Amino acid sequence: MIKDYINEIKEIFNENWPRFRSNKIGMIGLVILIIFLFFAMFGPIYVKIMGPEYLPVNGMDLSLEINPNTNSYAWPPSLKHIMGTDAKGSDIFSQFLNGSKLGFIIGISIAIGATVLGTTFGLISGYWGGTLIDSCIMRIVDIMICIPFLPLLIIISAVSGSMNLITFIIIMIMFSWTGVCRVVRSQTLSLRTRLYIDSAKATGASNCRILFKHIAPNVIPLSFYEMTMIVGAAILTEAGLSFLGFGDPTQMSWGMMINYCRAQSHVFKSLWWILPSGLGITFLSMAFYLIGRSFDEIVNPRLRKRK
Amino acid sequence: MIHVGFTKYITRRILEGIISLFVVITIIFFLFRVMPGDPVSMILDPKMTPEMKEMIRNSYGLNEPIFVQYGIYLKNIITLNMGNSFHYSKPVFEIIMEKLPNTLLLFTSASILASVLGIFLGRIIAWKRNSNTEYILSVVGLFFYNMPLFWLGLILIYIFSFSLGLFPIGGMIDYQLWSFNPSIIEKILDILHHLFLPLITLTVSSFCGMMFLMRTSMVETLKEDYVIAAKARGLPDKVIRNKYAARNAELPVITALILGISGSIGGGVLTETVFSWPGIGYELFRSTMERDYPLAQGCFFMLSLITIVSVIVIDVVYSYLDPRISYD
Amino acid sequence: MKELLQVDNIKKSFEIKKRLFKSAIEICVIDGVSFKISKKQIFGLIGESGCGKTTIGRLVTKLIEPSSGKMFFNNKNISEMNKNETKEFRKKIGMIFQDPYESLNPRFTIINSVKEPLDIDGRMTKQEKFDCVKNIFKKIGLDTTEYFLNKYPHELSGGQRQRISIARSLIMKPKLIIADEPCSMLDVSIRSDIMNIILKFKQELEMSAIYITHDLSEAKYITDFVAVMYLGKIVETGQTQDIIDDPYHPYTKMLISAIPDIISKFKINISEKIPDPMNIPHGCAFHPRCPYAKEICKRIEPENVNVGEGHLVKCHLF
Repeated sequence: MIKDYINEIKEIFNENWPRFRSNKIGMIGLVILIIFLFFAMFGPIYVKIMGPEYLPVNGMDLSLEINPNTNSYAWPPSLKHIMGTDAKGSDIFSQFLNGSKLGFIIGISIAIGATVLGTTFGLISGYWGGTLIDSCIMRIVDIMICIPFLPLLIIISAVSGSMNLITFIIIMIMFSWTGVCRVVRSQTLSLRTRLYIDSAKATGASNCRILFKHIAPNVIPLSFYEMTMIVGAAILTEAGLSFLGFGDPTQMSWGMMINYCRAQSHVFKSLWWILPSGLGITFLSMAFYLIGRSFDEIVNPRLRKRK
Repeated sequence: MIHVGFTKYITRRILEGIISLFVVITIIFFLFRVMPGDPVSMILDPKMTPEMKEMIRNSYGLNEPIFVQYGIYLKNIITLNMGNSFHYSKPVFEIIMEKLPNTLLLFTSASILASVLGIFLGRIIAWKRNSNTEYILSVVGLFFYNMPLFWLGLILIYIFSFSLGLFPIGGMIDYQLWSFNPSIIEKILDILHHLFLPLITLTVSSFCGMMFLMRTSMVETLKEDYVIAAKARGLPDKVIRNKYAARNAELPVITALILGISGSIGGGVLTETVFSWPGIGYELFRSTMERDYPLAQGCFFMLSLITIVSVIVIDVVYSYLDPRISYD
Repeated sequence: MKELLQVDNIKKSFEIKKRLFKSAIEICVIDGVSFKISKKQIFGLIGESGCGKTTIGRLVTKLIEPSSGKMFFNNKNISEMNKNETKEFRKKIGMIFQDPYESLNPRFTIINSVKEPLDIDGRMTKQEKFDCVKNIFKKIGLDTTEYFLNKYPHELSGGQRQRISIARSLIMKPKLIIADEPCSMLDVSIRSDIMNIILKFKQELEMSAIYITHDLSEAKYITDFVAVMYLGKIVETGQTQDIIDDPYHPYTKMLISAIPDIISKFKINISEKIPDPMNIPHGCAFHPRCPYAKEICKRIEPENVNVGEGHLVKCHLF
């Protein structure tokens, strides 16, 4: 059965790739994505080439003098440090590359987790809509959307000291699946009344079969779309949490960079420190969003052909 | 035009809201009791004397089994006794009530502005597809939608406060000015002056999402037969756009609003922190940093309450507006 | 019992969910329907929209369950079948739906749609399934090339799609098919083709069918027995030729006289009132529209009266 599923996904992919290629928005998104992917992978290589002083988290360039303008080791971009250095002398460029890597890891893991969970529950809830299990799942969803998750994350960090990255990812997954679930459920609800589902039932198809072979393929493109949206949201939330100072201190994410900048009161003194991280977050999130939008235009069921 | 079904629906939603609140309370309770470390330190002010500590221990029933503690905890919440803040040495409840109007001011004005702008601009973009307006607005919207809101705030401060000196860097009021006892109008103007940048930040961040959503749902609505029929009848474009298509297109936007409120509260917290806006979000941040546990709990509780109430209000308004849904 | 299908006093009500003004309403869609079908018989169900004929089709195929009453297929009670028995049951029946556009999954190629029953059965190899599909396509008159088999439903015409639906329902060699207005969404020129296919398979597979339609001329062409339905009840039933030549019930007469191209011997004025399943009249459900209505018709529901060989009428006139 899993093989069938994979075949389905492959089929959908092959079907839509040419359409995707011709879509300008999607291609721009893809290009930006590839650039950032390159950044992410280049990070460790850069450190290897340039030496341990360029480590994003702990590395410091000991040869630097104090910058009279900023009263710290923060220097504007130069030949040695392409994006300059931060207050303690760390290279900003390698921090930027590291941030890209973290952005991908965080964004994609949360997106995949939330989408898989949300789609599964959405399918179950929608297919058996109106029954007890649907009500249960929907009540849980309704309750969860009422809980503000950034404050919750803050409180959790308050109690446990600081937020480990894995903990963050798990909690984000637990809160993000609800959006996907709702959307998938409403799609499933409308699909299960279609005539061909009755047709399949009349030929003896089991519920399982109908869910996986008939309904799921129509729902998967929607899930992909939601997944791209979640990546952006996840990256932004992590940045927000790190900015407040509750992120994982062992990781130098983009949000952390902004946090340190503010903590060291360098926001107005060193523009080169505060700009790259924010722009990084913006563009990476934008790339996923653009790809998702182009998906939406291609596979949205409203593009039904008129008879 | 309120029918039995409608009232039942509101009641059900309110009940669900109360359950959500319960869940929040329980989460707070267990977080602070079950987490590693001495649960006592969560409530006890390090500045207290040992006798006071013992007294508080007993009043919170910390020597009793956990169910009893939960009961006492619930009783406390219902009687609005949330303990005293370590930092301020005042009851938490008082502090929250003080700060609540500030947060509400920022949050509601941003929400309303964002919705209005979002729907208004979304309508325009959907109508004039493939035009320059659409292109520009889309690109601008795209940028701001994906921009981290706190970063935007910092940049705005840099440009408008630091470099240009047009707006204050933070805070809600100018303490010096107010110590001279100015008139009401001057006070209001001062607040507005301080409100401007945080409002812009929070609004810009939220309105883009709504604009795009409105555009998407308008595009779908415009394809519907009744719009084509309206055009065929010769109704002016503006009327079709605003009265026919937009009305129906607004509905999914409202749904999205519900799902997004929880995120907006988070945005509010970030904005307040960046601008040192003395609201509940800022207090949450500060109290967490300083390990002022009672205040942190109280702030989280209040923010959850705001979220729950907003969700219910919007949900009910939506059900009222959409004649198609049934209240089962 | 030698009957293939026996339906005994089936009743089905639906509950309409609460809307703004009203609380839940129960609509009785089928109110005491009974009939029998033997082997190699095509049984027609005729009536206007809303009389419940589609619901009967769904009840027989176990897509919905009756509120009361029993149905027997080969002496087995359909409602009491367990999972395995249901699976076997489904292999022996087939269903053809009214809408050729919606009854095929738009994401499945034709071959995938048609061989789905074989997939569910799970006993054949890939090649065997392939041959089976090709076989049946040949009999139905569809192209059997690889090119055609890999097409999608939206690339085909309504007539072709309906044939594919028929192919799918026949591929398991069922003993009973339920055809729910298979021709009503097709062009007139194609209708006789579709009906001929059903007749052909009736001979070949010794198959029976329930043929649901609102078109009397279709019923005349294809059915052996026919039952006329009105607001959830069968008001007249008998051999098709009998009923068409010699209708008894006023409603049947009305239906026949409404056919534009038959010079009817029974011209009746058709009253304006449209039957509403939410407001079923007291007594005989037809009395508001009946030109022969008497006092008794408004109060007491008529019983079945035997007026000939297997010819039953529910009317106070006889």
